[in-house]
Formats: sequence, structure tokens, C-alpha cells
Amino acid sequence: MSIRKTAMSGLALALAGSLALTACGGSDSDSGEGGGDITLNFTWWGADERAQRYEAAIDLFEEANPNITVQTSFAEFQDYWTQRSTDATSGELPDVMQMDVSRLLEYANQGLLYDMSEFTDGGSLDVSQIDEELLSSGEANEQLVAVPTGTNTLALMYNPDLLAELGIDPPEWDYTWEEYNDFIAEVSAAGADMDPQVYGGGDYTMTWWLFMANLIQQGIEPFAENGEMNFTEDDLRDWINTAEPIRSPEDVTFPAERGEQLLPKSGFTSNEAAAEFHWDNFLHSYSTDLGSENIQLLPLPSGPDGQKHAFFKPTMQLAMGANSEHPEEAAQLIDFLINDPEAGQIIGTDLGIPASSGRLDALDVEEGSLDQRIIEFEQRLRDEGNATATVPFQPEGFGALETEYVEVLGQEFSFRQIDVDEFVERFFSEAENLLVTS
Amino acid sequence: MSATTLTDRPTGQRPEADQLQRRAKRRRTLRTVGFHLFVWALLVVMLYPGVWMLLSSFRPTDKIIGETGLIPDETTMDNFRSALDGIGGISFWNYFGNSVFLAVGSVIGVCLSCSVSAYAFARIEFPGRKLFFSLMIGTLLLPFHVVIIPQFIMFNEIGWTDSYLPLLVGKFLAADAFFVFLMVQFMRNVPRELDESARIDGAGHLRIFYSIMLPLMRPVLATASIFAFIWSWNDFLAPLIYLRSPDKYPLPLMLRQFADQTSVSDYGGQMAAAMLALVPVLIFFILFQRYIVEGVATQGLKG
Amino acid sequence: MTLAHEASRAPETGKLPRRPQTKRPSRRAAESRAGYAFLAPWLLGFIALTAGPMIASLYLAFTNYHPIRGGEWIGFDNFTRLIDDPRFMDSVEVTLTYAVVGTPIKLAAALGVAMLLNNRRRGKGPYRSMFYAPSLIGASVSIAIVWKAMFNDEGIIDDMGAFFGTWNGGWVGDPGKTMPMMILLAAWQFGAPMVIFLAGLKQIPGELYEAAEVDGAGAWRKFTRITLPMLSPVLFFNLVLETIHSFQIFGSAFIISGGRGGPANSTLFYTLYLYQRGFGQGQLGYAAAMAWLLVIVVGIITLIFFRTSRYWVHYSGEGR
Repeated sequence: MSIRKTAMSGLALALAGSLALTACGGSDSDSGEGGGDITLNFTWWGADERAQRYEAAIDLFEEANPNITVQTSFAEFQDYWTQRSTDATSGELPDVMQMDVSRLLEYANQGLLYDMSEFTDGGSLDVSQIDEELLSSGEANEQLVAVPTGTNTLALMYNPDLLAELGIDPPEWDYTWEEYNDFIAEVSAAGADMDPQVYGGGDYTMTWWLFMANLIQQGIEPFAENGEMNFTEDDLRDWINTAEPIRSPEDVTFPAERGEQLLPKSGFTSNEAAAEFHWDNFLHSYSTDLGSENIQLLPLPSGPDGQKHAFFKPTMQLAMGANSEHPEEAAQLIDFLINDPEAGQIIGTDLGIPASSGRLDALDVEEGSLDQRIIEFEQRLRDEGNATATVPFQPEGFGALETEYVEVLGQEFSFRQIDVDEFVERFFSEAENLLVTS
Repeated sequence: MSATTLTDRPTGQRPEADQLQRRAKRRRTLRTVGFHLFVWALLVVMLYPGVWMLLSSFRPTDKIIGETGLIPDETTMDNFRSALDGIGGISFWNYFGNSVFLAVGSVIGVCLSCSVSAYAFARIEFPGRKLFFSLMIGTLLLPFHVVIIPQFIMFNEIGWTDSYLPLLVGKFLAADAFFVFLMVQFMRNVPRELDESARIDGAGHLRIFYSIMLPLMRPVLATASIFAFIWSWNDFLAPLIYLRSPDKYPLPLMLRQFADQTSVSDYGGQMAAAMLALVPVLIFFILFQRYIVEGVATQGLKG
Repeated sequence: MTLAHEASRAPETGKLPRRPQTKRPSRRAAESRAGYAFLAPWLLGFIALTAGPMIASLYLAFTNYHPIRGGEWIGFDNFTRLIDDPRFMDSVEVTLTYAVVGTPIKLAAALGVAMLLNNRRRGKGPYRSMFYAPSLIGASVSIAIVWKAMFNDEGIIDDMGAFFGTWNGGWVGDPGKTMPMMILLAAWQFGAPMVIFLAGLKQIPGELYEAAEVDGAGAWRKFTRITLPMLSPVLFFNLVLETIHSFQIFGSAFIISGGRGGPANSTLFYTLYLYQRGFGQGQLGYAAAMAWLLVIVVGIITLIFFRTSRYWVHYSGEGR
């Protein structure tokens, strides 16, 4: 017995009828704009800076396409998904929207996203300049439902000023997980007398994506196509124990309590931790929060075989609601946003290092800028042959599982309310509820 | 009850000598000074966080988090500049106007619909009254999250999303049981003799409501207005769910747009905008609070 | 769940004894018509905006409905899952602590300040506004940053602790101290009950106090014999409302922890967890089950309040 939207909307309709009878004032008429004028809805997550970039790019688009008006809106990340899931309940997603790989299948599997492949074969949407590997992350059920805007990759950010103050060298490019532990211990020992106390870094095992990266380094593809987990309880336990050498002694890893005090900043952006793992495109916001542009990037530590197995993830994607009334124009807008060089100059690397190679080449980055640092970092990863892995498959429910790992279990673990075994046990029992397997 | 027995005691027969009176006066002045000192001490404690917030809105944005002292080390007007610039190309005053519209609409809706419904509960005998009253109380218990999704689907079906109607229709249909309950409680304390005598004179419910009850309800209407205004002013979940066009967003949604975990956040602008958003509620409260305490007593209606 | 007084009060008070008996049926019908006419807005709102959606969500409680995926009937599975859910238990504990400890503190603060302000004739208005100001600030999105700064290391609370030598360090980040922080945050915003108390206090005739003074009653006696009984309907109202609100606290819980309920679930309020499940993870069925459980529990508590109200609530407008 399945209650799809029909049952819910049937009930809603009955209620709506009773309400409409008495509604005070008329309802807004659906503004049916005639005369060939088309309005597209476009929405994204972000804050003011991203909005300014997008708006400026869209002004160009509207100039070039006088018959199209783009209605924009944006929200903070959490709010954004609340809005999209309510949209989805009624089957009315925006014409163009920012999408995240971890949520993609949730929407795609219900047929809520438009199959853009009809526009890619010489049509209005040119994806020829996007790396095939990267493009395939937007495919679901043999349809192209999302196009990547750019790439990012996991990196170690470190604070050279702070390290210089402590007289400690940053890790080498080909450092290992053990060496990273030693580095943390060394920094924390040197920073113990500072006020406020300075640490090397936090308990990195509580970062979901590092777990993913670690599995990949061991040759384990985390999830199968049917949504099943390919890793075992022991894999998870071993991973968490990787950081045991720096976790068990007192005052080596950045304390969770202090992290809580500093929110919404992190230990790293408060100048109290020398290093932190994150996606490389966070360099911008980190440098704003830290109030210094001097942050440098390193790759992840190497795996057991001495290789990095780094992968590039689509930073974000652009997708179209299946309900769009103007798919042709929506595809045009997406094409403009990912390919147009002028728009690219405005957007910069805010949406990741541009996925379209043409745009990347045309991008005029300022010498010494953060953008340049990220681009060079990703280039070096490729040049050194580090980028050998592909972005892991993210089944339906991946996003929710990530939240469970980081926000729920990671928190309780960091505050020592659960131990490794409880962490593992609860993770696997939650995964049963959250992952959609077929 | 004890209170009623006390009323029956005779008043105004105090033996008062001049000297006593003068001493009492001095003591009263002392007590007044003491009172003000005490209240100010309390206020300092109460208002400290507010003052901190005000002063912090002048801190450079990367210093707002982490600096715990009251006085900023350095000050800047940048936060207010970026707050007044608005966000996403929409000016602060646009958001502000939307908030005012929603809040005023809520106040009107609540005052109209809730007073009428409360009158029915408090003063009219009709079958099912008790049942409905219980149901009304029951709706107080419902966490709003649970009705949000069905309501959203419903409003979407009638094409009301991205308009203010879903946000206001409930106010005009007395959906906020709190206000109905508040007014029922108030009316229960209005002596029945008042409307009974009017009924003997042949007045119908409409007349009694309009010309007797409503004027007496000034204080409770003021209370309800203040709450309706403030709640609407601060509500972010309902606008978040129903509104899609940024030019229709009220202030709380604007405030949330300043900070995003995945990109560059402007906590300073957020703090300054939050400060600016506080001003109208404060003014609204100052304007209307005096009506709250104009109790029944001042209307010459002591039972 | 009706007011106890409703039941105990003589229903005849509104009738007109002088009217001939024969006219009573039509009078009653007219009365009913008037009743429904006056009730119409609420009734419509109730059916369309509350009852309907409530029934819909009751149905959802027995499904694994997801806003995008849809769902199917799963019987009592959501409820049995709740029992084994450690975070659910955490959220119950957090909410109960908050309601049982926080509500009386908040009401006491509200009543205390209301009485303090009510005693004086002059200069009260500005004071009233200033005491209300925290309630306005408290709902602001910036309150999380503000409150954190108060309780952080080297914040004002830490300084005070150092001054009195009573405690060391800030409270933020210590899961054991976040609940006191939340309760203080709630108590700090006592404006709403204070305003309602003030309106109630204003209605107590001054002669009562004068008479008591003549009898030589002290402040405490005046408080227990006059203020409390005369204020009991308002107190009752505030108590019911604040209790219900503290069970349903969402806004400030959401803002203060950024919707996360941390550190380590110490501010994971019931409705916040419900929101996380329902909107964060799309488990609307599970969230609906939680919501209905809350409705039932709060309903029982409210019922107890109403049932016991006849013993301690004194209505002056009736039954004299």
C-alpha cells in the first residue's frame, strides 16, 4: 500500500476546497506572462558574496537574452534543502537549481529532475569541455540530470604564520597518516604554553569525507550501485583507531569543548589550530574568517601503498526541475553559467575550479590570489599523478548518513559519550534507516 | 476565598497624626530611591547582553566571534553599511517593508478573528461549545512542525505558495489558539452583570460585543497585538517554507542569508542587520505597552 | 480538557427570567445561531488549518513517508523504533529538564518583576520596556553569538565566577552546563508572562491591599492572601502556556545550536530532533510519530492542570 503524493494531495485538495470557499480576499493569480516573455526560476545556496557573483552573471545573460527574465533566490545551506524538499513534496522544483551530489539521487530517483541529454548533442547545452569522469557524476538512471559547475578536492589547510611562530615545519607533500599524527603531536606540544593554547589539529577521523578517502586509499569503493555499503564494521573501527595515538594522550587533539566555544568559526580559523582538513575551495571562507590570506594547501596523507588516490568531486552541480515549463531556456542558462567566459570571470572559483576546460583556460586569475593557489594546488595533484581515484558513488541517503556521522555520532564521540564500539554499532544501525538500497 | 473577605473590611479609618505622616513621607522618598536603584541594578544585568550585541555590531566582522569583552577593541561602520546595502541585490528596506506588512496584517487578523471567537466561547451558550473549547485548547498542544507539510501541500494546491496568503490566512481564521485562550480568560473576568443588563435592554450579541466587550478589551487586544506583531516579526520557518521570491522575504530570512556554512559568511553584517531589525519591535512595544495596563479598573468597572 | 469552571458554573446565568417560558426554544436557537456565527472564523480555521493537517499527520505517523520518496504503511514501527533510539531518549530528557526546571524559574522572574513594577505609579513605562527588551533580542538570529560570548571563557559569567571565586572558566562547550545556559536564556526572556502578569495585577482593586494594611497584614501575607488568589487565573494561564511552550521550544533551540542540538545532544530539544528527522533527513513519518507522542503527553499534562485548576484558580467575573 503506497501513499504517493496523490493520496496526500487528494486529502489536501479536500481541505483546500473547504478553505477556498471562505478565503478572505482573492488568491494570487498565476501570473501567466504572455508575449513570448519567459521567466525562469533559479535558486542556490550561499551567502551574499555568491549572490553578487551570480546576479552579475545573470545580468549578462538577460542582456544577451532579452526575452528571458531570471527570478533568482538563495538561502543558507540547511534552509536551502528545507525549501527544496518542500518543493519536491509538491513536485514543483525551480527551473534551475544548485544541486549536491550527495542529494542528487534522492531527487533523481523520483523523476524530479529533467533529463538534459536532449540538449547536449549539439543543442543549447555544451558539455564537451567537461571531463567525462566528472560529468558522469551527474548521471542517474541513464539520464543526465545534473551538470558540474566546478571541482574541488580534499586538502590539508595549514597556517604558515602560526607554524613559523612555533618553529615547526609543515608536513611534506608525500606525508603519511602516521606522520600527520606526529605532526599534530609536535605542534600541540609546542603550542601548549601559548595563550590561547594552540593545537596541531582536531580528531580528523570524525570527518566523513576523510573516512571515504581512506577507504578509497585501501581500494575499497565505499558504496555499491545498489546502495549497499562495501565497508565493514571493522573498516570503520580501524579508521577511527587511526587517530588513537593523538586522541588518548591529553591535550594533543583540539578539544571538542573549545571547538564548541568558537562556533561558528573553527579552531583553525580562530588561530588556535595549525591545520585542518577540508575541501580546497573553502580556502576563501577560511581566509575571510581567519582574517589572513596566508593559508597553504597540502594533499591528504598517502595511503598504505604510498599513493594519494586523490579524487575530484563536483563542488556543486546545476540541475533542472522536471516540472520546468521552459527546459530549453533553462538549459541555455546552465550553459551560460558553466561555459560563458565572461560569466566565468565574474564567478571565478566560487563554484569550484571551473569544470569546463575552456573556461578554466580563459580564467584570468590574479597573481598570488586565493584562486590561483587553489588552481595550482589542483594542477600539482594532477601533475604529480596523485589524482588517480574517482569520486565515490553516493547512493540515495548518502547526505543524511554523512550528517549522522559528523553531526550526531561524531559529536557524541568527541565529547566521550560513546566509545568506538558504540559509534560503529549505532552507525550501522542508522545506516539501515537512512540508506535506500535496491 | 480570603480575597473576598478582605474586601468587606471597612477602609479609610486610619488614625493619622501629622508627624507620622511626615516620617512616612521621608521613608517613602527613601524607598523610591531604593526602588530605582534596585531596578537599575536588575536592568544592568538584564540588558548587558543587549548592550554587548549593540556594541558588537560595530566590531570588524572577523572579530565578532571570539572577542568576549564588552568594549570593542576597534570599531567600524562597515557592518551597518553592508546591512543597509541589503543582500542579493535587494535593499534592507524592501525586507523591512515586507516584515512590516506581514506583522501589521497579523495584528489586524488576530485582533479581528480571535476577539470574535473568544466572545463565542466566553459569552454565548450553544451546543458543542465545550467540545470546541477543548479542541481549541488541544490545538495549543500541537507542535507546528507536524501540520506544516500537509498545510504546505494544501496551500500549494490552491496556488498560494510564494504569496503572503499562507502566512496570513491563519491569523484571520483565529488559528493561534493562544490568543483566543488569552481573550477568553480575559472575558471571564469581565463581570457578567454588564452584558446581562445590556441584554435586558434588548441588545443582541453583536451590539454587546461591539459596544460593551470590545472597548473593555483594550488591554487584552494590546497584549495580543504586541505578541502577534513580535511573533510575526521573528518568524522564519513559515516564510522559509512558503516564500520563494527574495523580494517578498521578511527580515528573518534576510538575516539568515548573511551566513552560510559552505561559503563566505558576513557575521558582522548579520549582527548589524539584526540590531536594525530590533528597532521597530522595540518602538511597537513602547507605543502599545501602555494600553496593556489600562486595566478594567480604570474603566470604572469594579464589579 | 475543558475548563473545570466551565462545567461547574451554573449555565442559566445568561438566560432572561422575565421572558415567557414559551419563547425559550426559539431563543435558544437564536443563541446557537449567534454562537456559530461568532465562532465561524475559528471553526473554519480549525477544520482547514489544524484538524485536517493533524489527521493527515496522524496518518503519516504510521508510514515511512518521505517528502520526495513517498512512503508506505508500516504500522507501529515508528513508535517501536523510538524506544530504541538513544537520541530520542536524550531529547526527552533535555526537554523534561528544561520544562520542569525552566518554567518555574521563568514565571517566578516574571511575577517578581511584574510586582516590582506594579507597585509604583511613575517611571514604570520605560522600565517595563527595558525589561521586555530581552524577549525581543532573544528571538534574533544573532542571539547564539551573543549568548555564547556571555558564557565563554573570559566572558562576563567567567569574570563573575573569577570575581567571586566560585567557578572557573566559561560554560560554553561543556555539555553539563549548556542546560543551565538554556534555562537562563529562557528566564532572561520573561517579558511575555511579565506583561500578562502586569495586566492581571492591574485588575486587582487597590482597596484590597489598603484593607489588608489596616488589618496589619505584612507584605508576605498580602502576597499570599490577595495577590496570589486574585492573580490565579492569570497565573494559571501563564503556567499552562509556558509549560506547553517549554515542551515545544523550537526557535531559540534552533538558533542557539544552529539546528544541531549540540554539544553532544545537550540542547537536543524534542522539537529540534523532530525537525532534524523530518526536515533534515526527510523522515516525515518518524517525525509525525514523534509529534503525536508529544501531543499526547502535553495533552495529559494540560489536562492535569485544568482538572486541578478548580482547587486553586479563582475567577472574579463569575460565581459571586
